[in-house]
Amino acid sequence: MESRIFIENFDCVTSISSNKEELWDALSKKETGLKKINVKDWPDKVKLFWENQPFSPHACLIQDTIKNNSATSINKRLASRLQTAFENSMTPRSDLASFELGIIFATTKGAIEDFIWDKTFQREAGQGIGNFTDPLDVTLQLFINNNKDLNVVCSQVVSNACASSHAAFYLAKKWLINNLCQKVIVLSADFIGPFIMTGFQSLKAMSPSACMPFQDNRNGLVLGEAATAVILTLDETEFELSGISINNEAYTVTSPSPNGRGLFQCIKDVTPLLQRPDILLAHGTATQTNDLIEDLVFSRAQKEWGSDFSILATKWSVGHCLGASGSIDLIASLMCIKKNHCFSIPAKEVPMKLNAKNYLFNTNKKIQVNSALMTSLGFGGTNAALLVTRNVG
Amino acid sequence: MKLSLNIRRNSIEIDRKVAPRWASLVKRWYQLDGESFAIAEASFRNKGFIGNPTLIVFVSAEGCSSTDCLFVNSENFSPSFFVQTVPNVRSLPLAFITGWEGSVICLSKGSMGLTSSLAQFSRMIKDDEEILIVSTRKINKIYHCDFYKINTNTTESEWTLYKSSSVNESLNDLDFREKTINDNIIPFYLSGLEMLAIRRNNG
Repeated sequence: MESRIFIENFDCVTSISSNKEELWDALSKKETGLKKINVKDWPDKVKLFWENQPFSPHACLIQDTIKNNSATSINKRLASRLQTAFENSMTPRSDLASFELGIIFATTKGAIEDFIWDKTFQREAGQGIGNFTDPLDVTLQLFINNNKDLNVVCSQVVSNACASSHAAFYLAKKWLINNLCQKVIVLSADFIGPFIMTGFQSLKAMSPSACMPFQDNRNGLVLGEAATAVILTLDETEFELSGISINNEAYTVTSPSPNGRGLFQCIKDVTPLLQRPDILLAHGTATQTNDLIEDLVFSRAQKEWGSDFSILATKWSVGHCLGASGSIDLIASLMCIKKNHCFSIPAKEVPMKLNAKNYLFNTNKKIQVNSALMTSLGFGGTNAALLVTRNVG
Repeated sequence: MKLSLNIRRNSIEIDRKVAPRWASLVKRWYQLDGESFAIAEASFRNKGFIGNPTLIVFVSAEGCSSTDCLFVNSENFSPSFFVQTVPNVRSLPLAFITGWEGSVICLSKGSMGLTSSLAQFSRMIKDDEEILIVSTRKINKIYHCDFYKINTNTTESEWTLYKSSSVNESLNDLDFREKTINDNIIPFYLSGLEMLAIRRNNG
């Protein structure tokens, strides 16, 4: 029988919160971290690009507490955010330091903004230089250097686009059940700067205003920042990571298959017959395609299971946090289980075009939550699902 | 611990003027970045070798850095470059060409991505599993796209992966690759008490 994996502790920093309790309060009060971005330090080419766009850049950004923010490297800012999330999440530090630890950093682009605008980096990239600095790996190395008292026996950076957190939990589970380490710290973070903002705008994927998941008038995603720390262990705790599945369905680069075949397979993989979820935290980016496919898949699951699980989402509040989005959804799910209460998605009009039932719009709901399912879809045909349950022994 | 390791090295110089042999299998093949193109070509050459692994791990010392640069230097920021700035997109051409579907994980560990992945995944493989590590690296104009397949069936393997007490240091990916061309015994990984080497069978 395969070993069971548990969640020992967890916390996060987002644009609306400096810890998980604040995140919960903000989601319950329908707060959003959406703000206009100050572009004064962006490269001229990027500023020119944005001057010709129909709206100005906006996102849900973390307000760092570091002094002299603009002069501090993105790498240091990401490491500082991860440190805050990690220290918030910790059981006594001395306890953790006595274990053999694995650390996985889930990120989509890491500290790319520190490197990509530098001409030397641009000359060296792709030339096969021996000690080339990987913009994704530097933040993990800085975090490990800042925590030298920890006994880190294995580490990795996982970059599976928007499903990076799910992929990191998949790897963490493998490490634990194969005894590579005794506990795994899964960190996740991304930084929203000119590279990421311009990239998503080049795809015409961004909303000119707010993020409105599953609504008829949704018009794209809003990007956001988060840093998270989730500590996994083989020792029994209140929460179990019951299932994790990641699947590449090889359809197209930017779209899932029209019937959501790969996503449905992931959901089936993580939900055994007796463990139907009470709630589902959708990826819910508010792009036309993502929400359409997720709605179809959720509807199919509800019909096949005869179960009207409640559906909610977080991106209307904290934005799409890229590599950290799966971890944010996990933390929000754990808070729903902890409080037996679900936050809702703000909607000005009741959506008419949905197939699945029980979307939580506008009204928070008190329900017994013993299990929560989280879905994710990413570029490159990646689909993922994760099931977390209250451990009842 | 003794595991089977089979290796396929591919060095590819890309010529986009001529449609590749796999062009009909990959929509808009001409838009693939260099690494994806190389993976597609290597997958076509090694379709039988790739088989049906339970997990595919992609590692690349420079991640998507060269494509990131193409994006920021493109006229008006081309979306066709941006979609290729995440490493898991590189699994698509392999999947289109071989028909494989399953779990993909993309790791970024700089110049030790391959050797650290070989070490970690060799400790996690079960009897009914097969893990394929795809390692890409561009050096000057040549894309090196190599396949490293690990499983527990040592009867027909080209290399045996085993614990060894004679390892002095961890090799970086480039040195490891170089040694797989000529050497018969390669101590390659040292971390704490863990020491790993590979030995060429019949070598």
